[in-house]
Amino acid sequence: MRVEEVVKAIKDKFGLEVENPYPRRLRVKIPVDGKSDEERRQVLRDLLQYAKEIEFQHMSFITCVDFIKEGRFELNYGLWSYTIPTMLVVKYDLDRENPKHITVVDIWKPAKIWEQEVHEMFGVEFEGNPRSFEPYVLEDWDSIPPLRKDFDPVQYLKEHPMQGAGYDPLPYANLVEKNLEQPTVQETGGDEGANS
Amino acid sequence: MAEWLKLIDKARSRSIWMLMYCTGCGAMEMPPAMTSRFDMERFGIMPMATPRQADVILVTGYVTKKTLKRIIYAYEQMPAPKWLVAHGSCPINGGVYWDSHATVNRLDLFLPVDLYVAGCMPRAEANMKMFTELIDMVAKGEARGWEEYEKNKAYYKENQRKLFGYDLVFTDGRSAL
Repeated sequence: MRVEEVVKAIKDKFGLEVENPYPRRLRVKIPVDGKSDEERRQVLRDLLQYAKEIEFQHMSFITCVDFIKEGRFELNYGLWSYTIPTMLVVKYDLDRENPKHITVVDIWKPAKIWEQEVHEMFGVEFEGNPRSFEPYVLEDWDSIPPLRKDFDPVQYLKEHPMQGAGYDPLPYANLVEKNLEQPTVQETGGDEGANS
Repeated sequence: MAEWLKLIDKARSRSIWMLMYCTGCGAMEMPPAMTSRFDMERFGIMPMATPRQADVILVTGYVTKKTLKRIIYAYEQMPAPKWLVAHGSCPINGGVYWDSHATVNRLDLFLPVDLYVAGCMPRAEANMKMFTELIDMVAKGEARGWEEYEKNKAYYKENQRKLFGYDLVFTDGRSAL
């Protein structure tokens, strides 16, 4: 199957326009069009399933983009084909206030870890992927997900002065007084002091 | 006794084994130092796999909160005398990651640093200067960070507790990792 045929097949089956902005890249956006979340999720899952059946062998990534002014998250599902070497990116819009979504792990296994990452960095909940609720790289995280646009890292460091010490001179006042004795070599006997 | 210790320090300075634990991008500066152009093994420096056999630990880049736990574990496992080098600007004051949510800006609040190398990144020449400087410091008995760590353990442990929110190693030997 060639690239033009993939574009035509997706258009025929789902009625979605596939962009081909530059060589080796295809983009398809799942529009809102007044449809309910369930219908759009079903379109997304059918499209990912169909892409797997035709020409695409590898899920490269799931990423999330925070469009804070428009109040939406955009999920990007990247599928790579080794045979026609081309990347197909499927774009899906989520409500930013209530980011609940459905997993695609049963179709694409690599989604397990990508969804885990998106959950940790953006707080999107993937129903049906229990691993996505486990921490991914952050340990003991106690704030809103760090890659959201309304997360303020400078404010976070002010609340965590031990971590942010170094550019802000204030935290030093809170540090414990250090014992400033000069360290000496342990003496095990001998005729003269060993303070060298 | 003092002469004997000086002799031991001299011997130590020519047989520094470095722990193969590098954080961040500074690890890329180690291969030139190891290979034939600069060849750090002529100074007796060689990479070592485990902390229990190593003398020096290089922190070669940004220190994330998560990595710092592992650095502390590795440092505490190393037998004294041991040395720690902060390499690059990130362990000194945060460097370009000064406002990151993940990194710890100052390493010397949590572990004693014997030698700082500034730069982003320090070039291979700076690395060799670092090694020769470390050798001189060890030979003169100046690099005493491990003693400072033992003496001021309350200070360092308190800082670590403030950062992580709990003790890393409990009194009964369990670790929080």
